[in-house]
Amino acid sequence: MDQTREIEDFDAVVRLYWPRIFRFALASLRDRDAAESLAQDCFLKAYRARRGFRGEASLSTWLMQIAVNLVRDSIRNRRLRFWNRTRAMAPNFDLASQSLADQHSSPERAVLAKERVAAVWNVVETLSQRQRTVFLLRFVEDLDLLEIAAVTGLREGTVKVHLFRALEALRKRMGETQ
Amino acid sequence: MNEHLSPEDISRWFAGERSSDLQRHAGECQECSARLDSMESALAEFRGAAHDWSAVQSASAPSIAWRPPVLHTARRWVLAATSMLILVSASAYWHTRQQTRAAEMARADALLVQVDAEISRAVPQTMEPLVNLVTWGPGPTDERQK
Repeated sequence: MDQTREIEDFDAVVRLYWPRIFRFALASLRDRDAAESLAQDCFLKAYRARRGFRGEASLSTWLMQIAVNLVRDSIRNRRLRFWNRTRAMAPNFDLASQSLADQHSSPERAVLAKERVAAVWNVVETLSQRQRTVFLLRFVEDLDLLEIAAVTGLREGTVKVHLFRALEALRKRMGETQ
Repeated sequence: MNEHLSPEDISRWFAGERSSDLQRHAGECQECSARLDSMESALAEFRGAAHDWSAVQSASAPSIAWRPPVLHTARRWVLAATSMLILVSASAYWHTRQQTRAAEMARADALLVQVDAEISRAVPQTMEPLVNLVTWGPGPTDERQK
């Protein structure tokens, strides 16, 4: 469907893209209430600006751009104090990763999988805000480098640098845990 | 490519830049292949966990409270209704006040008319019966003046 026509049915847009925006916000902030609030802000901003949407970027990219800016503002303003909450939220994440453990045949493999996921989260915690955003867009939202560049407003080369640093941190961490 | 993959090669691989050289080496070298698989698994599990977590959090969250269009329309109606109410009330108040003022003015006018009437009496009201008993005619002084 034509992107500019798609946005006319905004309720359908919210239904379609809410999970993605919410997921990115949740992975970035690790706070459900904050993520929900941010997702609502994102769609409210998009709704207000919908007349200006010309379909030059995809609707998904446009919404993600808004979400990335909102996440950046939230972190910059330190309103959410999410690093402090990260520790408090850890048990919740542990609970959520239970489904991951359930997918594995043996308890040992499930434990290993949980440890690997925890190691990745620990690395994500240590990344700079830009590195984290790029990393989450790449490995949670499956965006390629060009899409990440479009969403973040960074040049492709800059995106690559941030991603490489994040992967380097992850590679080191995994080298330590193995 | 005979040497093992460098850290940069591994980053390039996961950034999606998989040249034919990289792919060939990954296919031939068991050590590098194991390193890539390990990281690949970790990232896939991380992705799965993030999706699951989001789904769980989203499902346990209250229903999506995104209602700005309705909210805005409702707000506009409330604002319009409130403005109309204020306008009607102000108009009614002004009208009533005008009526009260007019009535007060009428009462004041009547009072002034009454005061004027009482002040203009020739004798006090209590002496009026005596005045009625006397026939007023020309006196001696009046005669002399003639």
